[in-house]
Amino acid sequence: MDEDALREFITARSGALLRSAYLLVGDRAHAEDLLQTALIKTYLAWPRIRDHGALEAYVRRTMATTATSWWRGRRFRERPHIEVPDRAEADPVDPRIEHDAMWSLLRALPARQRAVLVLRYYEGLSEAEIADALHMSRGTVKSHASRALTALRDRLTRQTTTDDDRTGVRR
Amino acid sequence: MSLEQRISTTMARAAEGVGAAGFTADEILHKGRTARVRRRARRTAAGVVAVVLAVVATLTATNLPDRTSQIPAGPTSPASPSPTLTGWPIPTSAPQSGTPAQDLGITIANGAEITSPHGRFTMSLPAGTYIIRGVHVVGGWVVTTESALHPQVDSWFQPSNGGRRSGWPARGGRPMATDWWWPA
Repeated sequence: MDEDALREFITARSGALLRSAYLLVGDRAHAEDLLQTALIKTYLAWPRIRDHGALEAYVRRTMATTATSWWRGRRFRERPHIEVPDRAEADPVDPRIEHDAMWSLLRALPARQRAVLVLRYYEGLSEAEIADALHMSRGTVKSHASRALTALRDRLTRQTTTDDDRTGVRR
Repeated sequence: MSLEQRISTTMARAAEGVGAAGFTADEILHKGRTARVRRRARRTAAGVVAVVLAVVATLTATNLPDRTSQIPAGPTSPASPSPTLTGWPIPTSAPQSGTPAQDLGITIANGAEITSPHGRFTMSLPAGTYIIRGVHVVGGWVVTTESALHPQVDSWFQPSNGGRRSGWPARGGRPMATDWWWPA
């Protein structure tokens, strides 16, 4: 086994992969666990991986499938925030608060829906590539993405209404 | 900004603060090697268990109690008498005279002849049947037979005048009779 190639890959790409892992599980410690697990699985599968140029795609795919299986098995359970933390006196257009609110909503999504969004909007994969990565049909990918976007829109609308009520804005 | 753009921006910003991984490539390789050894050990253990189970199953299948195989079937020569006949209460020997075993329709010739203080006779028995016990009664013999093909014990009355045998009442595989004789 050519361990040197794998060592170089891990050294070069572990940072980027960890960021993807973090987006998948929403927690730094779990992200590191997830990445290590995916890399060890890759090590075990190394003799069977013919196209070493597609190694990163393999690891990302393994992370996505492992994250969803962890979620199914409740190995880790993050506490989803359906309601964004109270922001009382904060400026509603503060970009940092907007980011936090959006991030909370993204973390509250089910694992598969979040995985689809991460691969689509962070990794920039096409629907076909996501379907291949997550071992699902394109129709299922579309369905997950659509549900996730609808859920996010609904929650954002609800928050905006709540904020308007709080600040006394008339509609 | 569209929702998709907001998602993309939020993810990019969230990922920015993650920092570097807290492990090295060598640690991953070491864990990988350990996992590979564990996996091989598991597979080896599973293989050994499978082999042991296969051997046990084979031995069990080949050593199942086969009652018919314990009874000699087919003709036995005087030079090599069936060992299962040894120690029977009635001395059995190959017919020295009288009707040949083939004509009697029996497959175990020396199991069809009775020698007793009251005389000697060769009994006509169904194929695959042989005598395991005999008793002299008035007018003939009561004989207990066993089938080599079926674990079935029957009792017969054999007239001493050579007439045709007939069934004899039995209970628990033993004939209802008295005056048992045993070889000297």
